[in-house]
Amino acid sequence: MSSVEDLAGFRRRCAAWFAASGRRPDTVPHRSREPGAYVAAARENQRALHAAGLAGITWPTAHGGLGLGPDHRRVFDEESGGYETFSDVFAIGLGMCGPVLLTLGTEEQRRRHLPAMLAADEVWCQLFSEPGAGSDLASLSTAAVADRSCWVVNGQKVWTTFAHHSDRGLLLARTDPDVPKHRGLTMFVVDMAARGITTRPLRQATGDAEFNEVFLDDVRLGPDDVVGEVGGGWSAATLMLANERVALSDNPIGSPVTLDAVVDLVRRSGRAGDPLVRRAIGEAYVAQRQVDLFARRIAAEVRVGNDPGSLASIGKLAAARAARQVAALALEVAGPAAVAWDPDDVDGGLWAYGELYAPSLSIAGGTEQIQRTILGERVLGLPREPRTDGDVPFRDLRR
Amino acid sequence: MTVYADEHDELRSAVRRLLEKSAEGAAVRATVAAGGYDTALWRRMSDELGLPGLAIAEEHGGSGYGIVELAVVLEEIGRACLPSPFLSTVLAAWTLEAAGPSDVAADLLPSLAAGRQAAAVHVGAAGRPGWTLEHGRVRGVLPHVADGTAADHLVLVAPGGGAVVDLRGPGVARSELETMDLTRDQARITLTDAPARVLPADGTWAGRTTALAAVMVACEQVGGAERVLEMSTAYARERVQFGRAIGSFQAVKHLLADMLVELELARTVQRHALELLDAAGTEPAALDAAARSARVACSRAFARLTSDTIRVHGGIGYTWEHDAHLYFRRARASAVLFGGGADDLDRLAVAAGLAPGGEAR
Repeated sequence: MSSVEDLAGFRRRCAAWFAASGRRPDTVPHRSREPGAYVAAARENQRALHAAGLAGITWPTAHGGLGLGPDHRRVFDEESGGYETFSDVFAIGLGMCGPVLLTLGTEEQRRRHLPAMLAADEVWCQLFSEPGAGSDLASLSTAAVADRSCWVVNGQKVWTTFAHHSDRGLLLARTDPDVPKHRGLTMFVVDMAARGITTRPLRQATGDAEFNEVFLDDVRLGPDDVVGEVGGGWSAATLMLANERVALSDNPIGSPVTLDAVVDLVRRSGRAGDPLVRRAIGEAYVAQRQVDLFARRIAAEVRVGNDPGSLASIGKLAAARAARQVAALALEVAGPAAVAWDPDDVDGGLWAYGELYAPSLSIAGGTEQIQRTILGERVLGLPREPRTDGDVPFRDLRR
Repeated sequence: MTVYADEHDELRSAVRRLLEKSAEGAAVRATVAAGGYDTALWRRMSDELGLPGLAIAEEHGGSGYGIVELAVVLEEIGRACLPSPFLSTVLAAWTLEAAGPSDVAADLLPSLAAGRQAAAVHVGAAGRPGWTLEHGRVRGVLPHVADGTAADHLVLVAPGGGAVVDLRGPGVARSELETMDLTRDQARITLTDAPARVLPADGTWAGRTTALAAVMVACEQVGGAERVLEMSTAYARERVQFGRAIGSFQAVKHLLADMLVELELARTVQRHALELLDAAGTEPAALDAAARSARVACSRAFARLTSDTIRVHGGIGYTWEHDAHLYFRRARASAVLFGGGADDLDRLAVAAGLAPGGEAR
């Protein structure tokens, strides 16, 4: 294994790159106010990382990756501390779609898309949720109808994060309405510039517009666009969602308000001697530590080849809870200044933004109720709720 | 999570086999009713498995393993909610060894390793050790000494030093207290010029003992919480109401899922603290933060799970005959052992970046 780059050397290489080319968060375009420039900066950053041989750390070398392990990944994460990594722009592509193509994609799909993802030539989105299919994803109704060797897709997707900045997406559509809902789904690669696709940004509670509705009208897909088996879309989606939970249990994707920022706020606002504030900081410290250590535990499971599977639900629940706790604490410490600020104060709205952002972490990647059901049934082995839709063909379901 | 290796599974199953045979719920309650601990079982734990001597050096009659092995045993004792002098005795022995070579260590360790004698530990808070030492004699009133009723020796630990008192010797008065936790006795010990043997005052062993005490309790708590979740899950699978197992109802299923979340998060913090304790050269501040985090997380989790298990079990879980209250009691009492709860959160605020808040409260 002498060809594997040693950790110390890799660390030096990461540190040198960030020192020379890394972007500090205060030097990049504001994510909410200039989203277009933010995504452009993200692509530029990722392109430079790729050119320097620092992209796709754990991906196989055959597909443009570095072929290294989670230890190298952790070293990279450590060295990137204090720099903007734009992880939100790439989480879906590099964290979710890429791993699914690695496992289920054809050689041609991997060859075409994986290097392009790493070089930021392709930003990806996930076309899963629909107005009528949220937690019950398998009940989705976007239809892909076979037309000779091609597919014609009609339907509507929603909550599609970064669809308006994306080049490609993984689409889950119904290819057979005559079988029970889980069995009639297929996953496809979609070119977001294809004819028939209309993307409309939706404004979130924060005021940002990061997710979208996507309308698909007679979108034509070829046989090469199928990912995995026709009718095998549910297991492909499950694989993707498991990767999503792993990504979401990792903290960096979490709240814009960090515990360090709140500690700093406590100091600046002269509350560092207040015993109640000190207790609350101590509580938040323990919560944050649990999140960080649990993420490490999941990474260790992955390292030895175990599928962390349902345990990632624990990490996601913990990360969301800690983020809510920290955001609420900031609001409490800042008091009136958290809810009203001078227009010239660029950081003025941070605490309010964090508090408004926090509820999304309880929903994104599967609601907390769905996560608890997963834990109860798949980890604890509790009996399932009686179902009315198990063996019923999709077209006969109540919708 | 790399702290446990395959050989620890063997130790774990050996301990579990012995405890399952001799200390299932009814046996524990019989011991509780009689007071103290099951001396015959303690003898078997000592003679057959060598548990009290696991982490004591071979030259002192032990088997020379480390605290990771102790952690395995503590988790199993926690699972069984077993009344046992194990925790206090091994904590005392570890402290004696960590303080460096001394006559008192050479005298006591062989009998502690063999399980022939038991010891208790008093961990004093910074600035308030609770005792004074003059000319080799100790004075002080120690209001809550865990396992102090039956112990033969008392190890006194304070930042910067410590001493050992023979509890069967002169100048010692003990009174047994009523305890919320029926599985661990507590005594008020009054020392009136009791002869003491002084432990070396230098080094970091006192801080490590404080951290070790917190982590050892956390190990017991994780073991107990794990057992409580198993009991709850099994009951939710078999108890039928409205024609269905109650575990199929979301209200109950999600409660159990939350118990699992608390347990696994606490376990992760506990094992990390154990790793830092086991590693040579961990910085004292990092060890202190890890141990306190483990104590806070595991105490909370154990308290939460023992409350929730009563909710899952309903009326039967609230009866004297059910094991739930034994764990419930132990959860509350273990949270405040060895200085737990007093200033943990304030110290962790310092670990998070705030300035020390003056005298510990």
